Amino acid sequence: MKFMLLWLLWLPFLLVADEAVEKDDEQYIDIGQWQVSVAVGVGIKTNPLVDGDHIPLIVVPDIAYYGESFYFDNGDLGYTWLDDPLISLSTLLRVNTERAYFSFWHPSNIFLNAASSADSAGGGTLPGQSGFELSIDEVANRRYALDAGVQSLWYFNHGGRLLLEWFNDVSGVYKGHHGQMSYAQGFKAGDVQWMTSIGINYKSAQLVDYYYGISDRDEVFDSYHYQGKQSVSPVFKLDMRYRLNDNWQLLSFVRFELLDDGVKNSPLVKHDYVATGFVGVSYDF
Amino acid sequence: MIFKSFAAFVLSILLSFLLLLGNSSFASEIFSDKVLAFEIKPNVCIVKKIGQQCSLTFTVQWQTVEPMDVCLIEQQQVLQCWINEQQVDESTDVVLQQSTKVDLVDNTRILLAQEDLQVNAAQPKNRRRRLRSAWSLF
Repeated sequence: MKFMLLWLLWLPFLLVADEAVEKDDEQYIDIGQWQVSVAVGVGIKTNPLVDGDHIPLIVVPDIAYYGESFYFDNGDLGYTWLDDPLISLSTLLRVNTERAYFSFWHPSNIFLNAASSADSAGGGTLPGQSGFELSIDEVANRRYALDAGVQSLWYFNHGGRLLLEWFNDVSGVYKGHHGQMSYAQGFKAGDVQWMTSIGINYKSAQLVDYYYGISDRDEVFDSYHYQGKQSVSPVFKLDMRYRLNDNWQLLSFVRFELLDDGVKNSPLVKHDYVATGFVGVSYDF
Repeated sequence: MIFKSFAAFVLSILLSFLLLLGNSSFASEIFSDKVLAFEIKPNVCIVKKIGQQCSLTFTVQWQTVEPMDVCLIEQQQVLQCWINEQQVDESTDVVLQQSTKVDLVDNTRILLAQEDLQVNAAQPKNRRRRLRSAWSLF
C-alpha cells in the first residue's frame, strides 16, 4: 500500500514533463576541482524520535571533489572501479546517519530550540499508557558508525538511473548492514529542472536493534524493552532547480521516508515517517 | 555475527567483479565452421575526444575452407566484398563515430565472423558524473 501511494505521487511529474533530461550538466563535475555550493533558505528535517529535535535547514552545503577514480561527495569517500556510459561501480566509506537523530548538539539545540523542538516537553509515557513512549534523553548513548559499501549506478536513456547500494558496519558499532535501491528520473518542464526518485531502504535487524532497540544497557523498566527487527522503508524524493545565472539558482527539495514496523514499533519512535523539505537559493563558488 | 557481516561484504565485492567481467567482451569471434581465420588490424581507432569522427585504415585477413562470396559490413553498410575467394589480406578504410562491430557475412548475409572496432580517446576525460545526488548531505 505504501509503495502504491508513493508511485502515485511520482507518476504525475512524468506526465507534465516537457522532455526527459538526456545529459544533465548539473550531474557532471570537472575532474580535479572542488565543487562547493551553499544554499540559504528555509527547511526542516523531521526527527521521528520521542524528544528528538527536528533539524532546521537554514544553510545547506553541497561539496564534492572527483579525481579520475577517487572521489569525495557530500561525505562519501570512494573509489570508482568502473565508470562507463551505462554503468558505474564504486566502493566507498560513509558515516552512518542513524545516530544524528539522537544528537543533543545539532544546530536546532543551539539556534532554534523553541521553534523546532515541538516534542521536547517531558519525558516518556509509562508502559501501558497511551502512546507507550520513551524519551531519547532517558536511554543510553548510541554511537556513530562508519560503513563501507559497494555502490552501482545503472544509466538508462532519457535521464533515468538505477542506484544499488550495500553497506556493512566496519566500525563494530551496530554490527549489521543496510542497503538501498532507487530509481531516479530527471526531466525539464519549461526552464525548471526536476529530479524525482523512488526507492526502498533496507536496514538489518542488528542496525535497527542497536539504534532503536531497548535493552539492559538503557537502564529502564523491563517493560520498555524492545528488540529491533529488520526494516524495509519506501523513500520518495523530488528536487527542483531553476538556474538564474552561472552562479545562482533557485533550489527546492522534498524527501519522504515511511518507517517500517521494525523501527516505528520502538518506544523511542513517535512518528512513522521522516520528512525533509527545503526552499532557498544557492550560490556556486 | 562479525564473520557473517564480513562474509556479506566480501560477497558484495565478488558480485561487483562478476559485473565487471560480464561487461567485457572478446575482440574477435568466428561463428561458422567454414571460416578458418578472421582478423582485423589495428582494431582500435584513437580520437582526441570521445564523440569525434575517427578515420581508420585497417588490414583484414580471412581464410575459409573453400572459395566463397563474402562481404565485410559495419552497421549494415558494406565496406568491401569478395567473389569466389578463399584467402584475403587487404586494406580497407572506415569512418567511425563510436565503437562498433565489423561482420564477415556470406552472400545470403549469414554471419560468419565478427570483430570489435574500438574508438578510444587520446586525452583523459576532464569531466565525470557525480555519483551522489547534489544537496544530499541531509
